[in-house]
Amino acid sequence: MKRIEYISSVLVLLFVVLINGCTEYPAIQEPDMDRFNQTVHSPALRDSLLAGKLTTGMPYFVASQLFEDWTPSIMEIKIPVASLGSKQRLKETEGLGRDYDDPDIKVFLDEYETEKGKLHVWYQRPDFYTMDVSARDTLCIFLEDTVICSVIKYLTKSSMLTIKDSLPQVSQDTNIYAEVRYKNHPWRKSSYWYALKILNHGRTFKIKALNFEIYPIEILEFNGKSVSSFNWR
Amino acid sequence: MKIKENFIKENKKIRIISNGGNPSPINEDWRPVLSGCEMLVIIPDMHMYIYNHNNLDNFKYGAEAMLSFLDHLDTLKEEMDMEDKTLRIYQLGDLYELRFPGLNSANATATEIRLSHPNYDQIVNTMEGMQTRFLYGNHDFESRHFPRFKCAALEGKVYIEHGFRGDKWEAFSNPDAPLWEIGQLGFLAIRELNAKIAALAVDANIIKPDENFAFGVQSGENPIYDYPSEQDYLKEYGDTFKYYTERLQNIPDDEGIKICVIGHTHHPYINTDINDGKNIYIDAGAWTAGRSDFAVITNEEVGICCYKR
Repeated sequence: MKRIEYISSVLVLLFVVLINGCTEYPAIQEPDMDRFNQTVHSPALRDSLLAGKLTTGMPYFVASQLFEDWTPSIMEIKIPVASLGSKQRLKETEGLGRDYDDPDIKVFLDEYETEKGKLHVWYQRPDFYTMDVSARDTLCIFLEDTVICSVIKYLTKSSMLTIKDSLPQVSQDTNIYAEVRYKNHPWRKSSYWYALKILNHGRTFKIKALNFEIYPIEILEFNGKSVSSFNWR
Repeated sequence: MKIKENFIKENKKIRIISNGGNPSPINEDWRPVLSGCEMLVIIPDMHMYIYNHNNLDNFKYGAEAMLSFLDHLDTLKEEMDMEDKTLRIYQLGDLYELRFPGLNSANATATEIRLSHPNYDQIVNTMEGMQTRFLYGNHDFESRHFPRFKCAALEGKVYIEHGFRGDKWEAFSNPDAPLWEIGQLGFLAIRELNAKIAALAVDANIIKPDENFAFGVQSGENPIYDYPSEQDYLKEYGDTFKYYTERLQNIPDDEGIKICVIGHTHHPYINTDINDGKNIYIDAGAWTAGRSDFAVITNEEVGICCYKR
């Protein structure tokens, strides 16, 4: 009997090893450059994409396009989590086994198994508070070929800020692409805002309502270690 | 403020459907009926479900129109802000359809629904960006666990609630009534069966993969802009009507509630002569199954409107 158990165990182990060894990963898809360039005007991010790097600050759709062909067995996407870096799923149960989660959760996690290891991508619905924007940081607006920078005077609320200078040349109908450059957070180089709208007096800006495809990636982790980028080429 | 001049303005997609296409005036003795805001917009049941999932999602047909409507509200809110006036927006409950099957568990969750399509996420984000106040309904009753979702609200002399409390227990649509949990178990089983039959129908080319096939629910593919019969409302939702009008009658005059707004039935209805003219009763209708209704209240007028796709 013991011998049968031993043989069974060896067979199961062999099967598992074979399954793992034979796992084939689909080819990584190239992200849509045109869409990226229409969405993101930051030169640093454009350079990273051209170099084949997924970096923090890029919109979420880049990651979803890269791993478009991944099957559910090697990825788990859109997991609601409490905070950046947390892998704890947030789901509760009530009644006869019904699940529910907080509709207000703003942070999500994707997990992809790649050939070289596990990639975790955190992205979140941004606002000026969660991105640590404060007075005296700089808002840089990308208008066609020019970049206009102005110091942030104050934040009115989580989605609205007022800059020091008036920008009458920016029309209320313009789609504004901007990034924030921090003064007091050397550890965080810049924060990316793809869509703002300008309000009265040409000095107040509001974040346009985004959807998850445009949420910025906040943290990348590869094989358990925080990384600044993931090279796919 | 007037509904046509100050709310609809030049927007040709908005039409008043109640009172023959005209706003109903508010009794001058009641004014102002609002406090803390000058205009109230109330968005009824939406039943957002996982996009195209299981052939049970019928919100998708009205999603683009909803985004366009929210854009109208966002602009109006900013314009009113500049004049030191407040536009307050409510969502009446049943924002999410949590009673249908989920992706990874028995029932759908709010996150699964919101992240199933960029438009769905943008709708919720736009609402939140406008500081929309959310109530919970019977189809998203679990939202009551979160502080942002309330059972009911009072805005000046306007009482707002989802509207399930008038339902009898045998309808299994009132979470406060007995046997609610058992009813939900049965309801979920029916929807799972529904999804399986829909999958078979897709395989047999009877319906398309993106076609709505929810038992007992209109697909929503064809828009409905009419104001349905008031007699039908009293016939079909007489219990709801009676429950809320009696509650209004029992409220002492000094508490000052004059208008009651509910949703839940998906049947828009307005009655300005409740309790011998003491109250106004409004059922805001629905923004699902083809309908795109909402209610607007100012200190001078009330009306139920629809938004054309």
